[in-house]
Amino acid sequence: MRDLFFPLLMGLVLLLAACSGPRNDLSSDFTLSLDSTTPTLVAQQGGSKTLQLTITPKNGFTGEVGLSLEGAPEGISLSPTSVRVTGTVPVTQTLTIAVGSSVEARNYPITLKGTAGSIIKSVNFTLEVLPTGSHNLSGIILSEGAGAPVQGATLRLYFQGTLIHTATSNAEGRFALDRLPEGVYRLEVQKPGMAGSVLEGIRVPDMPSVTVIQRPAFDQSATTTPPTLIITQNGTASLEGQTFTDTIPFRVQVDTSKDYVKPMRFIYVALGRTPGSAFLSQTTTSSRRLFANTEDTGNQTLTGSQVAGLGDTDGERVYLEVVAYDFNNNRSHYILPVTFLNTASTQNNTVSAPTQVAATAITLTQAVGFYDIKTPFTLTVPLGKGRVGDMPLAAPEGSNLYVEVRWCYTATAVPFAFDIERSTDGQNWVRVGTVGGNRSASCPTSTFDRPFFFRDASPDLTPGQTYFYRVVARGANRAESASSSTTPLPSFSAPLQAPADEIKNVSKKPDFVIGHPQLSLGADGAAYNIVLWDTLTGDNVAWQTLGGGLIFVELGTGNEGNGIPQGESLVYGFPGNNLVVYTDTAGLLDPSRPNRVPVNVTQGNVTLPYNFDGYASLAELQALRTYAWQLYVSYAYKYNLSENRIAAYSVQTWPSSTSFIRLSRPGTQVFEFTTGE
Amino acid sequence: MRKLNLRPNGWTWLLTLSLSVLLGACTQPAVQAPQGPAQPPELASRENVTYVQGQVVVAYQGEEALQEAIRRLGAKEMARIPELKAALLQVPGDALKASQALKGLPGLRYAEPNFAMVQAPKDDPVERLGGGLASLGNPADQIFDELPQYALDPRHLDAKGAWDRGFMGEGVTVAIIDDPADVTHPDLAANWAGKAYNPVTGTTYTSAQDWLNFIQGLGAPSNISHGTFVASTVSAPRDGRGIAGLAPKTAFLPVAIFQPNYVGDFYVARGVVWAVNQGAQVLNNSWGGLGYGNLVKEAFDYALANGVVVVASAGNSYKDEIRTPAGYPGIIASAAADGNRNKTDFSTYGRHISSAAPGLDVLLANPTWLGGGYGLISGTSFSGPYTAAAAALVKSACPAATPYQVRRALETTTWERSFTREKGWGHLNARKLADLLAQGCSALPQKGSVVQVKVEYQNERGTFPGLFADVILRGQGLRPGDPTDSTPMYWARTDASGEAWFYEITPGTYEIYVAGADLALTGGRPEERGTFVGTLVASPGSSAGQPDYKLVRLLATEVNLNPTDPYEPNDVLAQAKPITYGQTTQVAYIFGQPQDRDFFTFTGSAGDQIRARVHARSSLGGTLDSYLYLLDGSGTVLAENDDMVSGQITDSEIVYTLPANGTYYLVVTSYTIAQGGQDNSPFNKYRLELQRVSP
Repeated sequence: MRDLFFPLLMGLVLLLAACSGPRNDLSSDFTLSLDSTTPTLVAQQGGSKTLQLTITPKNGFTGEVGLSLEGAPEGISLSPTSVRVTGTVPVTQTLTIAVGSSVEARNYPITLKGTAGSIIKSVNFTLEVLPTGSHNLSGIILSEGAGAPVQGATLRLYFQGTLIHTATSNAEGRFALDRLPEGVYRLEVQKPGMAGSVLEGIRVPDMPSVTVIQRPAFDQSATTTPPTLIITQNGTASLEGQTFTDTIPFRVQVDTSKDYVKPMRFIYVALGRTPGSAFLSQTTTSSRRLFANTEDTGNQTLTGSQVAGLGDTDGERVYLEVVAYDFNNNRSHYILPVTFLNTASTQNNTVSAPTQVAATAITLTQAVGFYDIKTPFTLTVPLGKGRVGDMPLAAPEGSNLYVEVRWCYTATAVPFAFDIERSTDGQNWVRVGTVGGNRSASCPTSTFDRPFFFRDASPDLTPGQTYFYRVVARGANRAESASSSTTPLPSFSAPLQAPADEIKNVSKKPDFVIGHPQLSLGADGAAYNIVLWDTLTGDNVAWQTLGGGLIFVELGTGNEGNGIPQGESLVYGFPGNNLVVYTDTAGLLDPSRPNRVPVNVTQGNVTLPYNFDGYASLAELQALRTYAWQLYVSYAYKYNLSENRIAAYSVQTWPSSTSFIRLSRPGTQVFEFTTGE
Repeated sequence: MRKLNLRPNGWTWLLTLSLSVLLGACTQPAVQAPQGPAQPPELASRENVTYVQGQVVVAYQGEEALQEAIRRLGAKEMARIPELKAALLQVPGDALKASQALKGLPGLRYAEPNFAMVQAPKDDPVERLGGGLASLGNPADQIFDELPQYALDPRHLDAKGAWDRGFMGEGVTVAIIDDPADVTHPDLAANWAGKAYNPVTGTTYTSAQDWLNFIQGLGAPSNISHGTFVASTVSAPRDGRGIAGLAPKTAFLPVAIFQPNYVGDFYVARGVVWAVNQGAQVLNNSWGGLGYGNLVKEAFDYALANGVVVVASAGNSYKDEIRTPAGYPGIIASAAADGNRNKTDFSTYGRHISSAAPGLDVLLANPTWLGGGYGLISGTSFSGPYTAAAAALVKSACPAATPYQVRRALETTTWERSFTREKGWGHLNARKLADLLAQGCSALPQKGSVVQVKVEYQNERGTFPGLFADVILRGQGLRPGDPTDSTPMYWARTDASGEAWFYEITPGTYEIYVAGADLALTGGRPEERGTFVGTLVASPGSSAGQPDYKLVRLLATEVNLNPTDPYEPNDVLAQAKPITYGQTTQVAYIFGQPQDRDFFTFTGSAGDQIRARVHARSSLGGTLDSYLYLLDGSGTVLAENDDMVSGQITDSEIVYTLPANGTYYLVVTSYTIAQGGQDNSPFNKYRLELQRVSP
């Protein structure tokens, strides 16, 4: 904004002077001005930079003004080198200053001279030449976890306090900057309608990729300046770069003299070895601090499970991460390096490999509980063929796709840390997280009951891509587990098709038809529960499929998938805890090939005839009565054959309207219909 | 265990259902023990219906009928609402069963348990507190008293647009039907109406200290704050302190229906009537659930008939669905908007929504017993009272405005002035509302309609009152599922005198659908339900005194309130009626006495594997949650069963291999009687089937 505003103002002032001033017969003249009063131009070696020059004619000056640079070293060039003034209005010209790659990186005081005959005018500015690096910085802007990129956000990258790059995020929310010198950067992100976001303390080249969360503004008319944080040990002593043993003291204060929207919503403080992911998730052996509704945390510490598994006896460089949101959802994320000595004796233990590692991907239709992790809810899901169990749904904040890695560690020697590593080929591993080490004698069969876990909510998780996870126990040695793989599913949505919303003359034994986009999703099946409310003039549930139990619908995905031949379908449930097969077109489980719940393979939908399961309260619906139906539960799943379990779920809807968890509720359709006579 | 008359009402209830229901799919049997005594008021919810233990609501036509009901139940009258001709009775044993036993009593309009299906605000996670506040540095136009209120700023409700022209709600009393509001909060005390009501005891409080003592006496101050937030939304004075309500010169009238748990439909109705009788012109209801309840509907009808505006929050269910009371005819349903005037994701929405108002992170007053001051809070619970406050601005300027005129005044002055299912007619705008009010009361939109439908059942036996019938009014030209179609649709059901009322509805031509009786209740066959389809014109200006009247005679079976059991008397071993292998009895009833047990006998051989099944509510309809015993010849119980599938199929079944040749007995009764209670309903119908499975 400032770039445009300033010359405009200058122009107006000068025009006014020309209209009302005395008509003295002075010789013609002109003035030069730049688009800032004390301009500093920053350019990299081998790069170029532009600036706006305004030439204002006086007393009828017209003609050619030649331009040149004084004080510029060899290798710095200017273009164009002349500007023509034809009328009485000021002329604004964009000048490009090119910096050769051999120009020494430092500040140069430079004079720009304008010459027209005997008239010579000049204006000064500073050229700051930055070294060219060979480093890259890429990243992604997301509004809520994976799948919600922010497109077209304006990024400003600051190096040592000066703006050196601007960029715009692409359709995937991504950006990439190159030729950066080593150093510490600040990245600001703005977009109309969105709150502001800033990431302070990016280490290049240590952090080649960053994630920036940018939330929609609470009120688009309010300021989008993120809060400015003051992070110290106790309000005075510096924290960044210091060395600590076992405990890290900290105090986070909002600089109330700076712009932001009060009140503050949350301040998170966490220690992580993986920049950008530290504060997201608590686990059984790791945690973070959270402060609500305050502009000053007071004197606090990170200790115990908040630092477990991090640091070492010699002092390891780790990052303290602080994230703060103000009322308008403006976000500040600060990353501060510290040296951390951990004296835990478990570092001397000779440890064994973790066992029973299982990675399960969970996709939600919408990110859940952005600011506030709720008590985990559980969803009963099939864990494999013919097995069911409870799946905790405790998504990391702001995430709609995450991988829950669970494992056991039953050996006697307690590890110092568990490192969670990820690979896309099973060969090359990247650490995605570290949690504290511990042991537990218990190692349940059910995947989700295993004692230790980590939730990988990395925004680069992509549906359809297979990921391998392993867990490394660390003590005196490193012990790697076997790997477990999962392929996340895309977001799932089974639309209600018939009876349509608000129609009348519906049959008293209607067919309930829902879309079943299992195949397009790459899933092996989906589980549903339909409820039919009789609440417009009654106070009952008219029908709930299988009395509330789930009905599983599987279209054939062949031997590599659910074992059902392509083009065939299987529908089953567990009423009264007994397997009942409703549809089995291939005769896999029931040679009579029942087709009580028909699946239309080409149209991708399922038809559930009213009361096909015998659970309706009336044999037929009542005439001229309004009912409302909805999917009470709906999710798709994908098998992992080699591990004999389901390794990916995509949850559309969730049977709780109470929770502030945003899990799927916005997408839940409810269709009312009125029966005929 | 039974799943009978499942009333899916409160949010908490939905959660509970989902968990128990999901457990049904996993390997653990979903056996739930009946719940023990709850905190006062003691609630019973073992049947997925939640109601106050030992309390029955009876609506009567005359004193004689009421006294007869009291006599039959051995009940004690606890309280009465003369305006609604309703009484609350204390009964021994199960209230749901007792209420069913009364159905069909001459002169009785209806009887129902004292339902408590509404979730208390303390249990609603949407409406959690957000922020504690220091001084704030937000735009100047958000500061009205001390603290920033985006909700009232020129980009949202634009309160100053109304206030600056003198529209501040002066002279209007708004009832806050909620948990007990703090009348001593420094930012509320000045606008307390001077009275507050506890509908449970029928106590009217006029002393702030007595009211505080009552609240303290409820023993759970940390769970009581909602009403204070709500009251401040409407009535916080403009006094330079804290915040201002949208109608800062209204008086607020607290009615405590959450103490902190929901007190039950009866006391809510009593509180509504009290508030109307105290002169409240607007009732704010920041609560709701799913399902239809006669008594609460009638209480709001009483308010509407008296020209009182009723506002209700749409709900926090995220869904396009109708919850009550927001969905009852004549009630203004409010959706919650966010800081950008869009619907919040949690807000319930649909065709019935009137308008939207701020309901996300709104800054409101926190009760003094929780430290006072202010807090941020979210929910349709707060868009509702902003709407009630806007209604109060209208009632202040035009006291004679009808509830429908008030509703239309709000709807025609929104930011958008066009209808969507998400926000109704749009986000309220007090400045534009003031523009309308400044033109005088004659400029208000036209009046609405009041429709009375009287239903009768006619057959070869005569003409009978059309009780338990559905009446649907569907606006002509309604476009199903159209996201911008505002054509209304209304539902009501007849009471035991056969009347259904639609107060303050949109004038126009309706398709009318009438059908009855409710087979889910009577257990009748489909052909017993009569139907009528026609049209009805609701004319503007019709009223409670002169409604648009329609008489509908359905060719239908009357509700038989005194059925004959072909096997009676069979109440003891000696009276057992024979049943044989392969036989299914005719329809019989657990009816005619408080603890009816029906005995049947058969002869079997050693090694016979028999299957005895009671076909009752789960397969036949009606109200019977059956219980079945198998006895040997000496009367010793060999086997018993409550539910075929616990909590899901409440019919009973016993599969058993007989130990010896001889005489056996099957005894059918109800779950309630088996538990020692009373259950005496003409809708307790069943058939008993006996099969030999092997050899």
